[in-house]
Amino acid sequence: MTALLDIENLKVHFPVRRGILMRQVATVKAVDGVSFSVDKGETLGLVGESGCGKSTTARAILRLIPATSGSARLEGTELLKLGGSKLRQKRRDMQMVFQDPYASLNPRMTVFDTLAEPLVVHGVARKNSEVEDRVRHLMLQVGLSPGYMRRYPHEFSGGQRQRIGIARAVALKPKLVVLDEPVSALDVSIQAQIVNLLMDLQSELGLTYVFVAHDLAVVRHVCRAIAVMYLGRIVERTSTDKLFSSPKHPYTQALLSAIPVPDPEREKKRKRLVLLGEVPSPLNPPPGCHFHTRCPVAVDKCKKEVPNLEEVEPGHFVSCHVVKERAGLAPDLLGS
Amino acid sequence: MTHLLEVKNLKTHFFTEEGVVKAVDGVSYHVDRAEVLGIVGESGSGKSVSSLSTMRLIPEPPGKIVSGEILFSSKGDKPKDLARASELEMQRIRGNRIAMIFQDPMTSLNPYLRISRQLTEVLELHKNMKGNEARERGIEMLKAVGIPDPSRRFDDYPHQLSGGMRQRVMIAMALLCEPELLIADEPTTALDVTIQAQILELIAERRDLSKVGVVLITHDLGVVARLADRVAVMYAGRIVEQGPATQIFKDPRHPYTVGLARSIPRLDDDRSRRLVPIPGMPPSLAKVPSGCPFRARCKNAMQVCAEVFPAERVIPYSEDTGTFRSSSEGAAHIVHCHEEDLEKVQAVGAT
Repeated sequence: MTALLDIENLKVHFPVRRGILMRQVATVKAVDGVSFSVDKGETLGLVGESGCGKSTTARAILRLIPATSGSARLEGTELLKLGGSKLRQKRRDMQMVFQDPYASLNPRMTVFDTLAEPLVVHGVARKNSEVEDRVRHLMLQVGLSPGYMRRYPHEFSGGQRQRIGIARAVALKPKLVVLDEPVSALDVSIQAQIVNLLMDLQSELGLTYVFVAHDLAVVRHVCRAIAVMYLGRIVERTSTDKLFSSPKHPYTQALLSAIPVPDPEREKKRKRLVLLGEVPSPLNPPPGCHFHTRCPVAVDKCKKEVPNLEEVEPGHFVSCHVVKERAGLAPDLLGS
Repeated sequence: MTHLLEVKNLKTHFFTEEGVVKAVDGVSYHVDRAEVLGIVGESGSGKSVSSLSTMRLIPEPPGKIVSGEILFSSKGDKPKDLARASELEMQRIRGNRIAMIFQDPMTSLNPYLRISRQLTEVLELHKNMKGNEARERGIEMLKAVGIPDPSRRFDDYPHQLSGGMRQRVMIAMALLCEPELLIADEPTTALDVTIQAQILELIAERRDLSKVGVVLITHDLGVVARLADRVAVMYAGRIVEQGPATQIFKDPRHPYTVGLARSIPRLDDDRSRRLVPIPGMPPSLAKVPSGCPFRARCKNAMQVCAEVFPAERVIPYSEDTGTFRSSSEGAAHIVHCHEEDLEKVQAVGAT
């Protein structure tokens, strides 16, 4: 099966400028050589801590920020080279749902205006009655009463606003939807409603998702495959089941052990790998493997050479010198 | 034995133009020394207001502690009712005997002052320490909370530190006067998971080594499971269920607690399980319905639920609870729900 979305060696670098002449004094390599692909109808989770480049990756794919180099193909079409009207047309196929439902809706537009705009702009519906029918249908699809069509965003709760954001994203029946932390701003009892809605829409409309999130429990539930990022690079990429049953990269292991499980008895027994220190500044990342400053098993080589993302088992990609040298065997940091 | 902090039937209301907002409406709980009480609830459940009331940090007007007692027994003294303490008395307690950590370390540190000034100020005020003595104590505390190179960091401004570091500074500041009670309001919500793990370890260490009593306010059931000895679940200004953490997680008896546990995905459950959301949303605190505030979202709601808020009911422990780590784990498991049939309670949200 061919991939719907194919990302190859994507780089997004931001210049840091100082002084009156705005001379470039440094480069932030927010995304530094990221590759992955997503099959049609699948969900890929992009996870990592703040500043790891997961959102930047997602936004570069949708051309919301310019990529420095690399390639991003949607059904074979190179997105990074599209311009003008071609890009505008292609935007129909790729949409985004944002994290903050309070900031991502125009407060001066009613639900109807918000949902009708993409339909009109892309010429999907022309007659007023047709537009209204489509908006009505969209609202029902995301679980909102069409009776609220003429209301403004401030009249809705966070969960309802996120439903509006989702309706806007699926209005044009896109092929790819990028979900950037779609539930993390919502209350826990509301999160499940939105997660279920996203999964229902995916099977109804055959959507392909890139799911950007930091909450690994949600990601595990929603995604078939996961890529873990650290300081602009993917450190591990595999199926969700493999990632959780046998994480290989030391960072993935630490990340998984850091997440608390809502069960006090298990929490008491669990072995935990608490990482020392913090994520280094992306302005001045450590040489070699970016993770070596916090890695409990780092060897000399890690300080000098950047490890490649290599397939250590079928479908399981890891970028770690130590794992590679042990023929794909993960270091047993949790003593499980 | 007297508790370190005992809150009895606390009501904190806000008198606004839209009406009376009953943010906390009859809440009772206690915390002992060397114990973590986790208060769980969603935004608007009143969990933060209940702890701000303890610190007497409710802006008045519009807010007011309408009734109830907040009994705090410092160093085993006779309990003092903080709800009726004067501002002068509170100033001696705040930051000294009871300290608080807030969610956002960026907005709770003064951006114009160096860390050193903010730390030594506390010591000057409460401990009468000056100059080098205060400085040394401050640096010592930064070291204790795991800030690398503390003597160099001591003279930094808050913006020079990362989020995790700032939260450590906040904790250092809170611990400077060796408080007996620490109130932590969503202390790790703004932090990444690996940093969260570090901060939770730090709080646990303070509980175990310095015997600090901790009120941990959070919406994250995982964080509570990791750290709390006892748990109180808040909904719309009320505590609907409380008891030992193991008991609350193993044998939840309130439909809201059951619903919450079922609606979150967890790392250790069946991945293909469909999440069971709690239908609807929490009521506005300005328009809390009569009787049980959860009834509009509850599958089992009966006539009586609309009439009176359920009285407390003590739940006997399930048999395989095992041994308790401390006396607090032997505390009573209390629920406020009219429905006594466990099977019906567990059917919440199921379709």
